[in-house]
Amino acid sequence: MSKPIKKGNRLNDLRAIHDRNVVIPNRIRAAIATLLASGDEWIYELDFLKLSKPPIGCVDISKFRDGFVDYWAEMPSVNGKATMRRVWFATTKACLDWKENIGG
Amino acid sequence: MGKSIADLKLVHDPATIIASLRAELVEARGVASSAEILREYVGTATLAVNELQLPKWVHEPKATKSPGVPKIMLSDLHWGEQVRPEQIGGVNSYNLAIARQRLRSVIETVISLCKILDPSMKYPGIVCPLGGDMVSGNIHDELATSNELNTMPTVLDLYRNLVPAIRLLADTFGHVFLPCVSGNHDRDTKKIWSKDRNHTSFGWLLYQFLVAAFAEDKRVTFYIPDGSDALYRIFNTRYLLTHGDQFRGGDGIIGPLGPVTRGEQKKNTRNAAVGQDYDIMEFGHFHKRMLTARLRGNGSLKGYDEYAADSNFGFEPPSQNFWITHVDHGITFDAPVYCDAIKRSRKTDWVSISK
Repeated sequence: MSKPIKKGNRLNDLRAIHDRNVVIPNRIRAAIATLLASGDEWIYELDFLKLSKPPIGCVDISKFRDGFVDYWAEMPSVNGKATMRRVWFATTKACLDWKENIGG
Repeated sequence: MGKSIADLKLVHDPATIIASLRAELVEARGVASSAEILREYVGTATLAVNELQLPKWVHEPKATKSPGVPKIMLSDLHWGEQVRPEQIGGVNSYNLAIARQRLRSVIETVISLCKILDPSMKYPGIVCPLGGDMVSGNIHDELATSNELNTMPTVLDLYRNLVPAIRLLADTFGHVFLPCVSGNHDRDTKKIWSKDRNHTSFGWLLYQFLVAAFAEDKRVTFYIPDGSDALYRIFNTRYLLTHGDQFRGGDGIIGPLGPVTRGEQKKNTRNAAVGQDYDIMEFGHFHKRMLTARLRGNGSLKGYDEYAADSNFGFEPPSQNFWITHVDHGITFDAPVYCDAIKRSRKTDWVSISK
């Protein structure tokens, strides 16, 4: 098998390193993959941010979360407090099941 | 194992949470029901504000010429503790072998005294309060390192000795009534608990073993309240049995008499306010025989120990209180039952004056 010939730095390589519109979604995908590999079916968002190395920032997740709506859900309050928590799921199936059955 | 959707539902799905709470409620009701069954089992389910429906023989003597109902209070046995005579000037010694001998001696002496008072032995029964501090317990470092046995084998050993003792009383007197309270040494907690005091006490556990041992014997009745005090009545005399560890303080002259008297006043006021008045409070804890019109302080089976010697408390031989409650007069005969066998003393005249 012949070795692929390096054609030099491409624009996409540069985007993957310096374009936040590419970097952050990639980190989110990596975090989802880590979550899936861990065996956990879900995780709270604050912990989810740390699954990526380097971690995803809070401001960044708020900007790019909507691109992954099939992976997270807002948890209904059960203790009377106004604080809302988001949970990320390892698979879209688990997330959609949750939203259908619980309505988060 | 990872976090599953089921785990998430437990904390965020209202329907799952409600179902879980309902299950917990059912379980809690079950536990409450078990506690009720247990109280029924030990004969305290019919308590109206902590007062037991006593066996009939206590209220109505079967023979009016009977001197009354004898009572031997057993408390402060400190089973399992060791007292080394060389550390207290040789005035006392205590270990399991001595404890067994003393318990046997107390029971035999009670029977002997009762035979002297009424050779026909027409007693309606005998009351034998178990007043707590039944075992030494590992409640202090010095006890944990010096007790002859750890607490659980100690409980078993005491159980094996109390069963024949109670059986002998039942065989001799026909009926035995045993009100039981826990002591501070019986505890299984660092400090004594006010909540669940009895359920954290090896004394209470011992009493439950005894209840089981005499479950088929209708002659033996136990009264084990859930709280620290046992209120009962012999004829018309109302007794309150408590261990006595609630009374703290005292000084070198009057000893515990001050705190006990004050504590008894408070207790009586408290009880009177809710219709649980009593005439006489019986207690142990201080290892001091103390008798007043309203108080019956018990001695101990253990006797003088290193703590008493270090604190310069007065010497008192190991003893347990014995008395008779008469149907009309209340307490009549009142005597300490000395726990050690009689030592031969030098010969003296029965009465004499100094020369």
